[in-house]
Amino acid sequence: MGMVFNIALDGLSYGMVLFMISVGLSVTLGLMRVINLAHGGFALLGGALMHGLTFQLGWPFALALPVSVLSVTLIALPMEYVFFRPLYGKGDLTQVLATIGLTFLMIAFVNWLYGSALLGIPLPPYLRGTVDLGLRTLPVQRVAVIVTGMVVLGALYGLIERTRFGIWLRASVDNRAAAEALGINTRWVFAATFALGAGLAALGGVLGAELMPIEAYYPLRYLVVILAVVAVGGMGSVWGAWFAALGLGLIDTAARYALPDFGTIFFFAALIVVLALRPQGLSGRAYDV
Amino acid sequence: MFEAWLGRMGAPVALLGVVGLIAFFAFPYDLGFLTRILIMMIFVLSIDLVLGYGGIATLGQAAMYGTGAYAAGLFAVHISANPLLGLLIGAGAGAGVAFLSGLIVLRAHGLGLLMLTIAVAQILHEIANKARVVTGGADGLSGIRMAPLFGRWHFDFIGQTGYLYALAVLVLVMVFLRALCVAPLGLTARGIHESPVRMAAIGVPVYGRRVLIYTIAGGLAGLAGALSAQVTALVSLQVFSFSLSAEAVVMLILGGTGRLWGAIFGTAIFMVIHHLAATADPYNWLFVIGILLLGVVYFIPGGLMGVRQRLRILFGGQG
Amino acid sequence: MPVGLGVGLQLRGLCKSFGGLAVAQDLNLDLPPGARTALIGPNGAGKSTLAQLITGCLVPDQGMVMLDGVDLAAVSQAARVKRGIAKTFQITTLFAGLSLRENLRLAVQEQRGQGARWFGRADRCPEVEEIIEFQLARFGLLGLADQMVGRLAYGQQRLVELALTLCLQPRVLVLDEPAAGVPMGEIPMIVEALEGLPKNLAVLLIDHDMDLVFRLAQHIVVMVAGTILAQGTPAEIANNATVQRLYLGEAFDA
Repeated sequence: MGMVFNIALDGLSYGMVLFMISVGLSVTLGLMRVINLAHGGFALLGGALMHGLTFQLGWPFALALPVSVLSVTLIALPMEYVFFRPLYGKGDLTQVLATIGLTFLMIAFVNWLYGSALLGIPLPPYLRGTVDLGLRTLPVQRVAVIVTGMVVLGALYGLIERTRFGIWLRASVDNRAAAEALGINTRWVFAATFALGAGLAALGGVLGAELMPIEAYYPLRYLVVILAVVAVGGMGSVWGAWFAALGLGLIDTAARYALPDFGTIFFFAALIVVLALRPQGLSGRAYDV
Repeated sequence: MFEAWLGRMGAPVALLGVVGLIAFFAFPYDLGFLTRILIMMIFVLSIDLVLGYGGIATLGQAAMYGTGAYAAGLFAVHISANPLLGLLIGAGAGAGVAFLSGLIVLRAHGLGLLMLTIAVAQILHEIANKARVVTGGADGLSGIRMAPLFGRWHFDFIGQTGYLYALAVLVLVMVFLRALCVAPLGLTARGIHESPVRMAAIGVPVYGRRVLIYTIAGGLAGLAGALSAQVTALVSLQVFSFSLSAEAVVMLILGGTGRLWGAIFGTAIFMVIHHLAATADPYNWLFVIGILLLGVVYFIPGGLMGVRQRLRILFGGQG
Repeated sequence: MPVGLGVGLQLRGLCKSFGGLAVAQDLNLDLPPGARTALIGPNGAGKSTLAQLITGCLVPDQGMVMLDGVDLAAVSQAARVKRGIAKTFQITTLFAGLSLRENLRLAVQEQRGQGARWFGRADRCPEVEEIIEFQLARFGLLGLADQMVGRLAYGQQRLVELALTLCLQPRVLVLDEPAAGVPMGEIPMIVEALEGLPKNLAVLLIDHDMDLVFRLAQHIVVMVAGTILAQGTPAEIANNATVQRLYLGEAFDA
């Protein structure tokens, strides 16, 4: 029973991290139809920046975190303009290759700064240790990640369902030409969404640093997992990304605990089954594929 | 008629053979490296068939390569060290895996398809990893001792037999592919690539044809894997790696898709540059390849073969 | 060799709904060999839906599509083409990056069951090349044979669309607005091509161009809001008061 609880806890927090990292990719994929394999690079940049601020410059965690996330968000804007605009409408493969090239550059950049070592992010005292919830004591870090994930989900839901921007976003995802005809500035919507997704990835990268250590090869190492979440969840869908992230996070963690020898096989088998039955992902529309 | 056939199809391929022989004599101490290039060319050609002709974006061709490698390796260790039989086994195994996985994978498109190809390769990687008893797991499969080719030529450490063996296979594969590409199936592949909708309206069972193309390409990838197992006498888990699939796709794009020769040039250039740059500093290599990729994608979409075409247009009028 | 003509295409009681919207209600239609039938009606009447039900792109909720008495329910779109049902696209859908010859070759080789061959050159089969030359000549496209289809004039592309479809040796041909978007000057050659279609071919013409319809059709079917409002000879339809009111407009005088 204790093991089940541990699996649930670890699986949930892993899933939340995956969600935060992948949701931006899912939405921008549904929006711009660009397969962006460099998305993990934003998580890396966030983590690397965080490492530099906290570990090297000694900034407090609470200050460094928003600064890191915001910085990545801002860097993403010119990147969208320079690298991704020319890719809209180009074939799958072109996008795959351009973004792989971009990933290589990001990896080489971080390596140039820090070498290939693991970039630890020291946790502040209030995130270490455990919290007593009556029934059990839980690591604070795990709880914080899960809470943050829920907050992000709620905030995204509010953004998409309750704001003007959300309407513009949904319209642009559904039918770009029609949205333009209605006077929505889809270019700006793209750029803003892209930046938001990048920022969320940075947040996820920092919070997930215990499970997914920050180091130069990060974007390639976790590329497959991130893509899996997006593919299974269905592109363009926040809910899809959430369910897929939690589902895959739990399956992966459960497999690691219960069948340590076959963990990865299980993960990919689950992936294949879902995609074989529903190639467009859980929330995807059939004609998107 | 044979002369005409030879002239059209034979000349460039014969040139390939000649260049290969020249390299054999010019670089007697680098034969191991050169042989790896030849094997990679066959692998990348298989990807050109799937991707350049069939329009199927894959990042998991290593699944078939690895299957061919392990199949040929295990065959040599347990059943027979006959190299040619081993090649057949490897090609057959690659084709088999391609057929079975293709039935599932080709139901998807875009990202879903990409993910499935990656997933298949990763599962095979894990299975090979766990089945230590059979495959040697992370230590790799060793103890592959090939019988002499045709009973005469031994596989020596200097790698002369290995190199010429690989060169011969490469030439034969090129002949095969060139014939395939001008055959009705080649035209069908291009048609599917251009407009699957139109193909269905012509009565073509698009899914079935795609599976056929994927299977043939899988056989070629398996052949490359088998060759690798035989020549290097070792099969490591790397044969299933994602980076192998991704790098091969990069090599193809560099050279240009859909022309077969793009695979040859792209592979040669990539591997030579890699060899030179990576020995210096592995991360500098990432800078170089990243910039190369971005350059090709943003400025020369046709790859290096595309440059040749552009130059032709520039200097000769109609391309 | 005697050609068994069969009864042709028969639609019985076809119904199709999308959600709550009924786009086809109890459609009955006969298309015997040699038929020259036009399907007219306002936008949204369900003409495209009918065409898609015939080709197999859509599966009906109720009713049957039969070819020579055989129910095509389980027959896929590609398989229906093999049985002789072909349709041209309203928006030209060709292999833009391939030459005209190659476009036709694809259709012919597939029709002859050679599409999956690994061996032999695609362009060296005499029977195939003969058929290609014949179609090219019939549509006056010989001079353009080696040009990339994407580069041809739109009217020429519409002709290619027609030639490509005829290469499939269809027995039932659905023409979806064959002259749509074609510049005025190029229409005559399309009309000429349509008038020259094989006599035994059953043709269903879907169009808004009344001149074309009344020129080519021996039988007209009028669809409105998913149902067939009226069917008959051109004269009967032209004099049908309801049709005039709903569709043809008062200005039309036969």
